Amino acid sequence: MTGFPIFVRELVAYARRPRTYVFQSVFLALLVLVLIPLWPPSGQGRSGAEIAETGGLIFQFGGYLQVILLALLAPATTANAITLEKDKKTLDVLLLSDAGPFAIVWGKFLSRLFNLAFLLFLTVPLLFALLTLGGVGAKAIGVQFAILLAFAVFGAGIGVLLSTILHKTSSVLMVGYGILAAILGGPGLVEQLGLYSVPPGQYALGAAYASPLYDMIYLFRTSSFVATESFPLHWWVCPAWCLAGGLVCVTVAGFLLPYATSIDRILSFRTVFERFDAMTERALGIFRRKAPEGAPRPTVGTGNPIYWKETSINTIGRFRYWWRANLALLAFMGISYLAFKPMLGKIEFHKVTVAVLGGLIMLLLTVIAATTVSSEREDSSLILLATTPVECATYVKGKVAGILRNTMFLIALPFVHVAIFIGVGVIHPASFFLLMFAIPAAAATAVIQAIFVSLLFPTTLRAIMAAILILVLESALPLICCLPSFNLPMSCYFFVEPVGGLGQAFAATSQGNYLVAMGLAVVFSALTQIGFSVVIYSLISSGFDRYIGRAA
Amino acid sequence: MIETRYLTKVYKDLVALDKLSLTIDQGDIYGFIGPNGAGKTTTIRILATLLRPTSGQAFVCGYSVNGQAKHIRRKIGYVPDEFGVYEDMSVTEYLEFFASLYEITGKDRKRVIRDVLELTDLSYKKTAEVDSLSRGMRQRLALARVLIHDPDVLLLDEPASGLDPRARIEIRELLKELRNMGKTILISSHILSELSELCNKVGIIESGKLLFTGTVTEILSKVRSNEIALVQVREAPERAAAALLEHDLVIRAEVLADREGWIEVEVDKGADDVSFVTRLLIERSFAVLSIREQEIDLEEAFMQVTKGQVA
Repeated sequence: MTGFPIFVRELVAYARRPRTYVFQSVFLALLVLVLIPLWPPSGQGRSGAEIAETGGLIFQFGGYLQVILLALLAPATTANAITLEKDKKTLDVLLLSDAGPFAIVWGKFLSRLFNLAFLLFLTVPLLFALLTLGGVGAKAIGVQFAILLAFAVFGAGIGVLLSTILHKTSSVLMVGYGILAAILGGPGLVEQLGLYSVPPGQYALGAAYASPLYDMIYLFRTSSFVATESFPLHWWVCPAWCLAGGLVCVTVAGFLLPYATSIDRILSFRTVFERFDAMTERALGIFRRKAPEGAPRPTVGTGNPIYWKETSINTIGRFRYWWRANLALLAFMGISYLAFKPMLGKIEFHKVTVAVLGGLIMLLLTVIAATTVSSEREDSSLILLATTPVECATYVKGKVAGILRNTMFLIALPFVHVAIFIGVGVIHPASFFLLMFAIPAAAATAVIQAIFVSLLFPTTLRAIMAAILILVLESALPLICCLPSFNLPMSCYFFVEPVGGLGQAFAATSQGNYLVAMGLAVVFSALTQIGFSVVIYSLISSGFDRYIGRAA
Repeated sequence: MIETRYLTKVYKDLVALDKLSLTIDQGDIYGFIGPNGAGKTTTIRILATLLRPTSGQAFVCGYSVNGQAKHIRRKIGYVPDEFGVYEDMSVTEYLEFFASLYEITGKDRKRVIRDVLELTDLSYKKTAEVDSLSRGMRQRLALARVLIHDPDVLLLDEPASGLDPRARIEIRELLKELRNMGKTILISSHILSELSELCNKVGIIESGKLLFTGTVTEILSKVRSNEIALVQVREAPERAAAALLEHDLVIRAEVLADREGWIEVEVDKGADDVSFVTRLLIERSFAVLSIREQEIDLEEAFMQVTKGQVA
């Protein structure tokens, strides 16, 4: 234990937890469940070429799936690496020991990386089984493994760095997911928005260099990146920077660790909000004769006290000039129109924009709602609430209404966007009404579902992870049962239609029939979501005392 | 007011409470004492409707914790061992928030808040942020919070834990006031000297089992099988001890090595008092400088009971 005590302690702790093995089994089961249906049946007279093609496909999908799972797991396994020590007030004790900040961050990083790498190694037998099918070579398997391992290093590194400089585990998760999502999906989004296009005959390696997901695509479809290459020669660029980036992150975290508490205070959402608050107050003060002394907070009054607490006390709600943040959001939106000016006339741009906003809404609402009960548990205030006669309905309605009010402007953004471009004549007016059904129902469902998850799980990290996992699984529903109800980005994408070419997919039908079909789809979706919300609410309601007592 | 019958709580392999039966009458101040992990907090949490018992029953103000939690919550005030902090909430807002949860509105709310702030001597802090208060003030605020809806029963889990001596004394005085107001209080604490001053009944719990329940006088008399006297003689304490041992009522007489001339004398329960010790020594020509009866306190009683010396 003398060489690397933090690493050994963390590793031993992981090994002792039964959930480590459950987690590994679930990871492997998920991969097998997805890949086995693709496995070619034997003895059906299929040619070797056909079987090899299937082998190649399994390899591809397995790779994509692993990258996405790594992006979900890497921040989750590292988010509380340092934040937990801060919460338990053990960071100072560690820093005062002989270990030193670098041993602490490297110990935390390596132990968590070990677990991520272990998950990857679990898939090795599966990958090599693919060799029996053909269509994939050992070299390709090795390259894919290197890309995944390097991405795991980067994900774990960024997680440890964020855990050092941010105060809350939930903040680490949100920022971490944002960064990894930007890296994985960024090239695709940029291309989709038409900001990046490669002239014919030229290299399109930028995306493969930047994103491990695109590096995988490059690995599988080399010729679409470089016409003359049969095996990707530049595959190493992305893993190289991922590896270097991850190691740099951990080293920087080591330098910053002694100042972690001061840094997280500066970078906390609360501090950022307060600075923004002061800044906007000064900026708007130009238009006033006299700047106000500070807006008084609304009193509890006779309304729902939980709603009052959510909108007056919590991090977002307490923001005294809350509307100013939303004004800034609108200003940001206006500026982005200038940046994307050439794209504003294309319907694809608006479809992607509204879909991205839909995804953001779902993700943010889920994270906020999943932390709402667990944060009360962590500051020991839930226990006080649990011994008051507050009713389940008051509690849940207060929470849902409070969260929706706090994020109201974010929810309104797609409507504002669509309304503007309906006015300009780019988007069909029906899109607005379709979104009116789709977004509020999905938002309310996401909130109530995440509150339920938050009641069930003992820590913020687990609550957020579970809520996001449920969200991801629900979003995958359309792939297996053609039910777009729970996939808001997909719904948003389809509901935004152009004025001239409404329902291109149904060109043979009349526009009227197409509109009726879309209307029925959105009503069905909304009703499904409302029904789902009622079921969850009944669940919470029936066992409210049990859940809240357990949570407290 | 509070009654538990064979109350049992099991967490996987751990029996946190083992058939605990106790009764606390109206107006009682019941001190609940026991080592860490004995089951005090589990009992209080069950009574506060936060936990469900594995088996057995518990009643508060006649309502069962199994199924009548809502009624109980209106009758109790619970102060947990950890203070629930709301960031950026002032003392008045904090109390207003909890008053609204108990559906106290309008003028009543203002009056009640003013009264509890006065009672807990926090009026001058009413605009201060909760998270800026000292631990002692927070504990007073916690008591103010539980008094808002004028509960009949107060469940206080280690209310003086981590407080400095001044804050402890302030809390103790506040609890005395609540006792005078006729509240029934169940209080767990490690500071036994304070409990003996405050409580009329005590319960000693260890490993989930209630080892003793009764009045403070009862436990002291139960623990004390014989009287103990401390006598100081001018010279030859060894000889004096030997002389004392000749008396029928003296069970033990030991010279205290660390205190010059002092002898510890254990006298049979049958003796009216220990005055005969002085007489005996004077008769044998020993110069007695001092004699006093050794006081037994709750702390000692606790130590003996939890060692299993009293069943």
